Parts: sequence; structure tokens; C-alpha cells
Amino acid sequence: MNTAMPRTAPAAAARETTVQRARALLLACVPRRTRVLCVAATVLLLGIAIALAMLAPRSERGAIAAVAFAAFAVAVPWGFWFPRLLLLQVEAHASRLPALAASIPAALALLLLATVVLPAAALVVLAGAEPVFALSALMAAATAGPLMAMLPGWCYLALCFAPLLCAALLLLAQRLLGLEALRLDLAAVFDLQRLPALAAVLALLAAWRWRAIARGAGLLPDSPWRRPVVLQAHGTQLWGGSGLLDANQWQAAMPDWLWPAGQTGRAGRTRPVEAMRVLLGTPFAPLRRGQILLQFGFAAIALLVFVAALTADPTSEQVRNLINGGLGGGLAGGGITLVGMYGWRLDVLRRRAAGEMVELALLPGFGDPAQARRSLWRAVARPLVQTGLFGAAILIALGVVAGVDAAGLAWLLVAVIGLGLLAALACLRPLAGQPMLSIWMAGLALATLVMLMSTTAVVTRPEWGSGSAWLVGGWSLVCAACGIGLAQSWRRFRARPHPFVQ
Amino acid sequence: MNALIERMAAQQMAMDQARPHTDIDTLPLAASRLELRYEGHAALDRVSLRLEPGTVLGLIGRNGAGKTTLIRALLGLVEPDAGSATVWGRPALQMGDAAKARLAYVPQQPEALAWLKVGDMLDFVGRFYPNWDAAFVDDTLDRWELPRDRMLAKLSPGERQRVAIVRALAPRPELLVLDEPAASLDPVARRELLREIALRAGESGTTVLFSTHIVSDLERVASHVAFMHQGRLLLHGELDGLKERNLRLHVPASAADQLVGPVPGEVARRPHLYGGHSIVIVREEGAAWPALASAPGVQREVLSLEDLFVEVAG
Repeated sequence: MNTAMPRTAPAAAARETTVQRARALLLACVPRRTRVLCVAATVLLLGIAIALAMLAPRSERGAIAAVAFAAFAVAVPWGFWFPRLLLLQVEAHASRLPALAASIPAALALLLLATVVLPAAALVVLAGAEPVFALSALMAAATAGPLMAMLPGWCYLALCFAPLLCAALLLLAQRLLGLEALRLDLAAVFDLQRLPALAAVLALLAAWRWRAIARGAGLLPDSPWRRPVVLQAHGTQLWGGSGLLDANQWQAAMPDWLWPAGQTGRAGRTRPVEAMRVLLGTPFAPLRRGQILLQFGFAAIALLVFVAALTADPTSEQVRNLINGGLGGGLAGGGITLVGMYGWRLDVLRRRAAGEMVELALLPGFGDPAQARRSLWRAVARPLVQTGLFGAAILIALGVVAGVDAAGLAWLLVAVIGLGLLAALACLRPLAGQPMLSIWMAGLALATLVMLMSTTAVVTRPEWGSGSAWLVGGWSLVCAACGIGLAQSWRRFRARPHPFVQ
Repeated sequence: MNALIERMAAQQMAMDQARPHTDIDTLPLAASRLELRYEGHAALDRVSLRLEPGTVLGLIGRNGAGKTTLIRALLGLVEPDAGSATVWGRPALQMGDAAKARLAYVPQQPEALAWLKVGDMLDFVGRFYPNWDAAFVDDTLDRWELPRDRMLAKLSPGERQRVAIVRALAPRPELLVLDEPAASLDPVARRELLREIALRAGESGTTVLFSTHIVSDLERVASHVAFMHQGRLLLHGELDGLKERNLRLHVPASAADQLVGPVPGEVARRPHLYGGHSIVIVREEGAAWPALASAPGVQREVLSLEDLFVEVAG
């Protein structure tokens, strides 16, 4: 945490205004780089909101669009910057600095006034927005970020699986229990009329969590799964800091049956690839039978939901949306997440000075550097290929169930191949001593994401017209870029004196 | 100060070259003019070192002096920009299974395989070593009260360090490399570790290289000592000899005014507040003290290892 703190001498403190103190607190809680990025994003989004307000004065759609962009602008600092005030408050309590801790609620009130109340008033005056709508949209944007930061780790896992679970339960209720009246009206859920109520609920929840965490900071649970995310980000960033991404901490707090790695049974000197997989850890480590069953179980549930949905009412738009969403979300979101998971693990190993790379480098039994290089590449590639084949099989099965034609299925396979090349590059870069993430890699991942979403759109929405030319061009570029990157990294990987050098 | 460090490093290199040498194939560890730069900063600056079989070398230096980087370069864990490191005569970066089976390394804060239980990790690692001493593992785990069925990630840093030490000692290595092994240990565990090192070195002839900034640990077990400062190796020699070969000379202002250039063996010089200088010298083995040491008005003081370290690195 930045150590630039407000002046502490009593006389100076007495002279300080609330605004000065809030400013000092905001400077202290995040590093300059984050502040600059937040301010830049906010200014850009606010600029768009103002432009929309000017271009479409007093029109209803223009006002809604202006409010939406203003809400995004407000969400940026409240999502990435201001929640760190809670960490500052907790640390102030721990450091026995009550004056510092006590000044934070006033700073928050000031921030709410400056980022919610005043901009809402400006939107009403400039864009002719409806006052309650403008205020509640900005309030919801301001409270959602801190609320997410204050959730414990297990909530994120629950949120990931919630849509699948809800859909499964809904369909089971309809198909097995005959509760046909039980219908989910998505249009009603996203009705703008409900925004004030949503904003009020979010604000109340955020205030409750903030108060509870600030008061009970000394009694925090040991498990990172039960600890608020903001209190685990003691580094320079709120999201994605090293503390948050230390898999060891999270795995240590998992129950035995859910340990993602731990299978050392057959690994050893005579099975170097298996042994390397153990040393590489999750997601490369061999799984126990129970863990394999668990993973197959999740996949089977997902498939069952789709089949049940389709057989329930194949012509329903809602069912089609569910299937298209599942295909798109599964391929684009799931695919990119998997790529990140594999590459990130190797990147962590590359950076950790006293970790598994040292064991890999000094354990006898892996042969000369050339043999070790071959075994390492097999240890990395085998789970990657297995997961790819498993995912492709599920995807094709879903496509068949959803009635995707042969050309569509072929495009889905092309997408899987593109994703596979990106995964291979994400894994090879750390092994070649390069960081997994770079501007080049981020651009390539973004391009792949766009192509994955385009592919699912073309495959599942044939009525939108043929996008073959776009897909051919886009995937050719993505595959060519991946190929160039793979060739460069492969040369570096082979040129290293041994594969575990850091 | 930099000129002084430069001169001391050069002197050390000349002394190392003049010393009768063991055949490189029998040297557990050797480095020749290792250089490594991180972001423009020299982490290792032309470091040369020879670790003779059976010696216990204590590598001492301030935080950031380059001890860990030197150890990692010696073991082939990082690739130097220039120079070479060898393990029993073979390039460290091309070490074979036979050499790996003969050595063990304990990093400063062991983090590997944290998702495994203590017992599972030791059983797994043991499968790779032909001389794995399972009885020693069981005995030491019991003696040090380390639970076999607890996940490594759930251990305290001190317990984790002790598990890493058990893991390193169990293959009965001929070369043991420890990077700040006592950093997370309580005094009792520290004594036990030092006793174990002394025992291994004394009874089995294990060669040991360990880094530390706790001088008392070094004095307790080391036969040799090497000082690292700003990526350079400044002093390297037998511990007892080094204690006998150093002097701090308090030179009065009248004598200090007449000094021209550095005194032979000079490793540090500071002006006194009341005038004159204090000059620390380390004479070469077999060489006489410089004439200044017996000049009228000059006071002589033999330094402890800790004081010598502070003078050199301070």
C-alpha cells in the first residue's frame, strides 16, 4: 500500500479540511499508475456521456445512453480504486490509528456526493434524464464494485455456477415436477423500472458488508475462500494481485476431496512425464479418480440441462437463447479462462524463485537437458490436449443437440483449433522464459475472443446471414499470429541451456 | 569506496589464483568470473569461487549483496551473462542426473509442492534418489515434531523450512547448499540445524555452502568464509586464518597526513571524528604486517568476524 499518508501532527490535522483529508486518503490507498488509469477511463466514459447528452438533447434514448455511460464512468473508480479505502480503514484499526479510521466514512460520503449526486444532477439538467433513474443508475454503479470487492472467495465460485444451477433447477422443476407455471421472465428481471430498488438493495448490502468487515477485521477467517477479496489484496492492485492469485493459499483451504492435485501414486523416476505433471501442479497434475468423476459430473449436468431444455420446448426463443448463450459462453468465456489457467500456472512457476522449477531443475531422473525438455513439453501438452479433446467433444455434442448443421460444426472445430493454438502459445511463452502476458498476447487473446464470439453467432444464428468470409479471414489471421508466436517461443525454448532455468 | 571494493576484489582474485588448486573435476562447486545484471544493476560482478571438498563455506553479506544470486548461478538455476559455474567439473547449466543425486539445496523460503502433505511430498521426492534415507526422515520428523499428514501450505514458515532441510538431508548429499537456512528458525531449531551441518561435515565429509548474515552461526560451523558486497566477492579464506590476519589501525592525524596511497592489505578506511583515520587491513597468508602497524602512535586492534564484516560491508 502507498505510504503517502495525511499529515498526523494534531495542529496540522485540525487545519485540514474534509476534502483535503479525503484527497490524502485516496492518494494513499492505491499507487499512482492505478489512479492514472482510473482517471483516464472515467474521463473517457464521461466524455462519451457528455457528448451523447449534447448530441441528443432531451430525447429519451439519448438520456438513457448518457446515463448508462455515466454509470460506467462512475463504476471504474468505485470498482478499482475506492474499495481500497476499506483496506486502509482495516489497517488503520490494526495499527491503532483511530483518527485515520474515523476519517474514512466522511471521505466516502464526499465521494458519493462528488461521483453520484452531482453527476446525476448534471445528467438531469444537461440530458433531461429522469432524476430517480439517473440517481439510482449511478448509485448502483457506485455500490456494485465495492460490494464485489467485499465478497468472500466462495461467492465468486457460486456466481460462476449460479446460471447453470438455476437453469438446471428450473428445468427440473418444469420437466420432472410439472411446475409449468414456473417461468423465468428475463424481460421483467432487466426492467429499468426496478433500478431504484436494485440500487437501494446494493447500497444497503454494501454498507452492511463495509461496516461488518471494518468492525470485525481482527476476527477474519484463515481460509481465503471465506475472506473478503479486498482484504487479500495487500499488494498494489485490488484485482489480480499476487496475494489473490497465490494458488497455494486457496488450495490449502480446500477440503481433501476437492484438492485439484495431490496424485503422486505412480509418479517417479521411471515415469518422468507423470512426475513432471505432479511438480507442475494444477491444472497439469494427474487427477484422482474422484476428481475426474467430479469434473465429468459437472460436464454431464451441463449437457443434461441443454438436452432437457431442448426437449422441453425446441421452438421457444428462451430455450434457443439458453443454448446459444451456453455455446457462446462455454466456447468464448470457458475457452479463454482455460487458456489463462494453464498459461498462468506456468507463468507463476517461471517467476517463483524457490518453487517447483528449482525441484525440476535439481531432481535427478529427468535425464539430460534434451530429454528433460521433451518430457516437460509432453507433461504440459498431454493435459492440454486431453482438455481440448474433452471440450471439443462436449461442444460438438451440444451443437448436434442444438441442431447446428455440418458447416457450423466444422466452424466450431476451427474455433477449438484456434483456441488450442492460443493455449499452446500461452504455455510455451513461460517455458521459453517470456512472460505469458504482454501487449502482443493481450491483443491476440482479444482477437481470439472476438473470433470465438463471431463463430458462435454465425453458427447459432444462421438467420443473421453467412459470415464465412469474416470467419475465414479472422481465423486465418489468428492462427497465423499464433503460429509466428509459437515458432519464436519454440526457438527460445530450445535454445535455453536447460528447460528449468529461470 | 568503489575503488576500494574494486581493489579488494582484484586482490582476492589474485590470492585465489596463487593458491594451490585441487583438480576441477573433484571440486564440488567452482565459479569463474560470473557476471549477472538485473535491470542495469550488477547482481554478480566477476565473481570467482572454488569450494574445496569437505569444506563448510559460510557466505556472508548484507541483504541484496548477491548471495542468493550467486548460489542460484552456481547451481545452474539462472544463466549468467558471462563467466561459468561448474559442479564437480561439469557446467552447472548442463548438470546430469549423477551430479544432481549427489547434491541438495534448501532455498531461502521453500515454496515447492505446497499442495502436498508433508509425508506425500517426502515419499514422492525420495523416489528420485538412490540413497534416500527413509529412516532418517521418519526419525527427524518425529524429533522435530513435524506432522506427516499436514499440507505443506498449512505449515508455519519455520516448519516449512525444517521440512525442506529434512528433504535436503535425506538423500545423504555430498554437497549441501543452504540459502539463509536459519532465517525462519527459532533458536532451538537453529542450533539443531547447525549441529546437523557440523555432524554431516565432520562424519561424512559433506561439503557445505551456506549463506547467512548471522555471524555467530557462521562462526559456529564454518571452516571457511567468503564476504560478498555489491555483487563482488571481497574476502575468501579460512575462518581462523582470517581472524588472525586482520587488524584495525587507529592512525593519529599526524601519521595519517603522511600516508600516500592505500596501505598493503587495506580493506576499509574511515576518518575519525577527532582527526586521523581508522584503517582495517587483512594481510595475506604468510605475509608480514605492513610497517604502519608498528609505527609510533598507531594503535592496533584485532577485530571479531562481526566487526570485520561491518567494516567491509558497512
